[in-house]
Formats: sequence, C-alpha cells, structure tokens
Amino acid sequence: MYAVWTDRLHEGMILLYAASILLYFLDFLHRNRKANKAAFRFLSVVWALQTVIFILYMAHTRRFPVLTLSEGLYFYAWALLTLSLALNRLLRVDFTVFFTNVIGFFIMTVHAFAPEKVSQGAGRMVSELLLMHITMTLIAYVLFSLSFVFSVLYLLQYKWLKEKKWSHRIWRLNDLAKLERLSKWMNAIAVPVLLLGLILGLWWAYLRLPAIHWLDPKIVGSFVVLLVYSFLLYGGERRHMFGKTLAYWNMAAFLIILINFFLITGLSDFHLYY
Amino acid sequence: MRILTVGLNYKSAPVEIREQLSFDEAELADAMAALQKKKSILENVIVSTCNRTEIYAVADQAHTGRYYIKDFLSEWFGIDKEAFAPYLFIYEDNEAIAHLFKVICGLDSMVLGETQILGQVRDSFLLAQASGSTGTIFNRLFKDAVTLAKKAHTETEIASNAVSVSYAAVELAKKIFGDMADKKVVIIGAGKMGELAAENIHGSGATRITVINRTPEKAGLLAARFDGEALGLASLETALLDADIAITSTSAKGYILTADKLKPIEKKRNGRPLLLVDIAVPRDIDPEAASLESVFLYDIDDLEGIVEANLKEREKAARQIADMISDAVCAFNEWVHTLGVVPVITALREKALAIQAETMKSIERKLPDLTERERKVISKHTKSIINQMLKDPILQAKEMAGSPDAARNLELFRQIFNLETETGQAEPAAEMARHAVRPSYSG
Repeated sequence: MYAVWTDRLHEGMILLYAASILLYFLDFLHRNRKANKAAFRFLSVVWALQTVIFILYMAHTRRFPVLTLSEGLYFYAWALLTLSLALNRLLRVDFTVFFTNVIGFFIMTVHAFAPEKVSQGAGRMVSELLLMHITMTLIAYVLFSLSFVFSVLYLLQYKWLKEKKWSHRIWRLNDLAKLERLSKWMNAIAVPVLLLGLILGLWWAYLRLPAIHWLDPKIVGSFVVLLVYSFLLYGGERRHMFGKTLAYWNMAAFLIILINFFLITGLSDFHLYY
Repeated sequence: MRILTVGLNYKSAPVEIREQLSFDEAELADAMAALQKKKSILENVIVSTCNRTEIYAVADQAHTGRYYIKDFLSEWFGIDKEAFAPYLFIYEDNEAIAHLFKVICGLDSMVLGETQILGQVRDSFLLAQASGSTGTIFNRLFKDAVTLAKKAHTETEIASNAVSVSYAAVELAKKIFGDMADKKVVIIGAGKMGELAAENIHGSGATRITVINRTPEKAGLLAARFDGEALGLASLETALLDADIAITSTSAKGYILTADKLKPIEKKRNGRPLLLVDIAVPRDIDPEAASLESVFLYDIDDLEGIVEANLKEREKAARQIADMISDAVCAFNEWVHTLGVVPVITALREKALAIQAETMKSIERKLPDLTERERKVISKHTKSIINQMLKDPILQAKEMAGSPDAARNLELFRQIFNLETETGQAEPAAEMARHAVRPSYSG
C-alpha cells in the first residue's frame, strides 16, 4: 500500500515538475508573467510533494535516506529545489529558478533509474558519521550546482550584452557584477562544507574500515573537486581570474563534479554505497 | 446623469494653446470649486499637466455639461470660447471612462507608458475630493483608475526599460555594474552632449566623475558641477586605467581610442569590465575595441536600437492594457448598475420636463400673441428654473445611492417626488449605454 501511494505521488510530482519547467521555458522565450506565476505555483507544489515523499520514505526506512545512489539523487534534487525557491524569494534573480530546476528535473529523472538497494554488508557499517559525510557532501554539490547556474547566467548575459541582443531577457537577467558575486558566494560556502564532509568521511573510514584506501578513485576525485574549487575561490578573490574566464572555469569544475558523482563512483571498490 | 471628459492635450492642441489653458497648481482647488458651482455639473476633477488640461465631470445632461465646462474655461482663463473650442476633445460616458483609464495608464502620454501621469491624476483626484467636488461616482471611478494603472504597471511591461537614448546608456551601465554609487565615470568631451551625459550618469547615482577635454578649463567648468575632477586629453589613457564607464562625445574627426590603445589598458585593468559609450558622430572609438574581452562598447545606433526594442515591448504591453481597460469599463458600468440611481434621476428629469412642457402650452394658450422669440425666451428660462431646481436633488439622490441605506433612501426620494419607477427596475446604466459604445482601443 505504501509503495502504491508513494509511486502515485511520485508520478504526479514528476508531471507537475515537467509542467513547471515548460511554463518557465515559455516565460524565458516570450515574457509571460502568467506562465511565470503558474510555473512558480506548480514548483511550490512539487516541493511540497517531494518533501512529503521524503518524509514518508524516511518513516518507512527509519533512517535519513541518503545511502543509495537513488536516495542521494533524490535528496540532492530536493535540496536544489529548496534552495532555488529560497533564493528566488531572497534574491529575486530572474531565470535562476528555471535553470536550477532544469538540473533538478534531470536529476529526478536519473533518480528513477538509479539502483535502490544498499550494497551487501553495507548496512552494518552505517553510522551517523557516514550519514553526515554524505549529506554534507551532497549539500556542497547543491551549492556548486547553483554556482554553476549563476555562471551560465553570467555567460548568457555577457553574450547578449556583447552581441547587443536587446530582448526582454537582457533587462530581466541580473547585472554581470551580481551574477559573478552570487557564483562566488555559492562556492565560498560550498568549499568549507565539502571540506568538512570529506573530513567526516575520512574519520568514518578510519573508525570503521581496516585501512583507508588513499588512492581510491572516489577519494582522489573528491579531493580533486575540493582542490579545483579552492583554486577557483582563491583565483576569484585575488582577481587572477574574473568575469568570463572565471565563469568558464566554474562550469568546467562542475563538470568534474558530475564525472566524480556519476562515473568515478563506479570505479571505487571502497565506497559501498555510491 | 452623464460622465464627460472635455480637454485638450499635446495631440489636439499646440503648446501656444495649451499654455493658455493650463491651470496653476495652487489654483486648482479653487478652479474645481468654481466649476462645481456651474449649472449641470454634479462632480468634477481637473487634471492639468504640461501635456494636457482635462476636465472630468459628472453632469445631469451631456449638452449642458459640455456647454458649462466650455463656459467655465472661457471665464477662468479669460479667453473667448471660439479661440480654444476647435482644439477641444469631448468624450462622453464609456468613452470618457476609457479615456481616463488610458490616460492614467500612460497609454495617452507622449512617452508611451510613462508613470508620472498616475501620480498627477491621483493628486488631482485627492485635491478634488478634499475640496468637495467629487461624490459617489468619481470617488469610485478614480479609485478604479488608480488601481487599474497600478495593475497595468505591475502585470505588464508598459513602464519597464529605457525609452530614451540617455537613459538607455544608464541602463546598460547598470546591467554590467549593478550599483553605480562607487563607479568611476569618465566623460570625454565637455560640449552639450558631454554635459547631458554627465547629468544623466550623475542622476543615476554615480558620484566619481572625471571630465576630460582638449581644453582643460572647459572640463573644469563642467566637472565643478558634479564635484568631479578635470583633466586634459593627454591624461585619457591614465584615466581609463581605473575607470568603469567612459562616455565620449568629442568633435574629433578620427578615433581618439583604438583597439591597439585599449589593449595595454585592458591588461593593466586586470580584467575589470570597462563600459565605453560613444555618442559622438563621427565616432570617437574604433569599433574594433568591442572585440576586447572586458570592453563593452556601444555607439549611438546601439542606444537607439535599445530604445526601439523597448518601445516595441511597450506597444505590446499597451495592447494587453487595452483589454484590461475594456474589462474595467464594463466593471465600472456594472457597479453603476448596482446603484440603481440612474432610473430615479431619469424619471425625475422626465417628470420635470413634462411639467415644463405643460406650462409652456398653458402660457401659449393664455398669451396667443407671443412672438416666436418671446416663446423661446420663456421656454429657455423655465427650463433653466427646472435645471437649477433639480441640480441639488439629483446630487443628493446620487450620493444617497452610495450610502449604506441606499435602497431605503432612494425609495423615500421616489415617494417625495412621486416618481413612477422602482429602484433597480429599469436598466440603470441604460442612459449612459445609449450614448456610448464599448471602447475597443488598440493601444
């Protein structure tokens, strides 16, 4: 009965999510306030449904559900949507919600095909430390995703300004200075969160595993991500990198995250979860 | 009961006429009070700006209303009616209502969608309300108009984005830098164009202004107006090192800035964006400079392109607002319908005119030798007595209709005058509807 209900809720949520993104797209193409309002309302319902499904699942499994790839992706998509709605309320940066939720929707669809089972033998090693490690890492990834979105918006605005494309979009999108600043802020928060997440992961491995596999692709990949973003943060602050170049580097760094998240995980013989 | 708009604006009258019929702000309340005393006028609001003088009135009859408004204008300004009558436009009922909505939304303005007119109409209405020249009908109509204009501004793009070249440059600067307060602006050329550019950019919040000119003395005069710095043309490249925005408007025959000159400057600036606005003709900056990564270069044609694109957006919004106006006119008429006062006033007027007609017949029977002229004079004067007698009862009936006890009061009114109509029985807005068509503006 539980499975039937959550499946129906999930299907409804996905349909609404798709409708919301289509409406946002319509507003992006041809300024349409009604479509924008409807899209935001749909998205708010999607957030409510995602939250309900998440809580129901948590009650069902009696743990914080971030252990499998499927659970992790769901939590990531939920956190991304939550933050995008909060940012929309606080910062009013046009198109942010749309672009962020294109990623969110993509992740939601990937989540549907991701493996759900916890690997054999993994269950007994679950601890609060591990859950915090995974959760913090995922939150850092959400913040990096938002930073990526602001970089995409920066490049779009830069292109329109340079090419003198005087459409409604140029006036709706925020100024270059603000987009660059927001992108940097997201990274500035995400880097220490990721660092803490990785430290907690190492601490867990030290306590639970016979030995830490320092050359495990996942560990190497995660530290590469941390190093690249730290370098970007430093370069941005010291003005060694700025504007368009910084935006391109930030997008490239996000690509490393995607590779680390989806590809390197499969190569790891140490990460039992995902 | 009729709603009228009598006025002239920049479309109907040249400035020589408009300036003669412009109300002094300090006298506006007195003017509205004076118009209110005129026969036939039940309510009035006068809107007077540099582009328009418009009188909105509720009158007991359209033709007398029109006549007395013109009469008032002639008396107030001491000008013969014939001198301004050809420039007047007159709208009645639905067209008058739609015109007010169009004006307040900025659709009738010289700059399509300008928002200043909303404040001006609202202020005129509040003044009229305070001076007692509005009542139930205009209190509602003008509140509806203000609400509609606010809705039009928030729900459409009518008031968004620059529609003047100078403001377009400021908008561009804001799209690159956001806040202008700490931005350094270099004005190159201290002529008329440079002066205008400096005024606009200063008005947008920029406070660090440097003026560069071939003759530093001239630069000094302009810079002093903005507490800025003045430099000679030789200092141009140094000034650009820490500038954010540069606006050029010199009369130089060739480029004063080329891509080659800007390359080393860009390198030293460490990638900080530099906005170059070239409003000179012939141009001051080599268009090749736009290829530099952190340089944003715009010339006068680009700025005009922005204005054109934004005007198109406003025209699109104006079409949306035209639909909103049609709906608002219908909603207002529905509200008038609910008042039920119109049939009462119509019945009162019909009864009074029937008495006057009977009286005229009686006079003609008793004085058969009256000439045609004498007959007309007597008829005109008896009608005048009726109109003057009815003005206050009509005014009171109208106000009663807006009171909480409207139905009972109107019933009492009917009984006092023994009127053969029941409140709400006839089509209340029929009189207005008979004289007007539903407006269908295309923006």
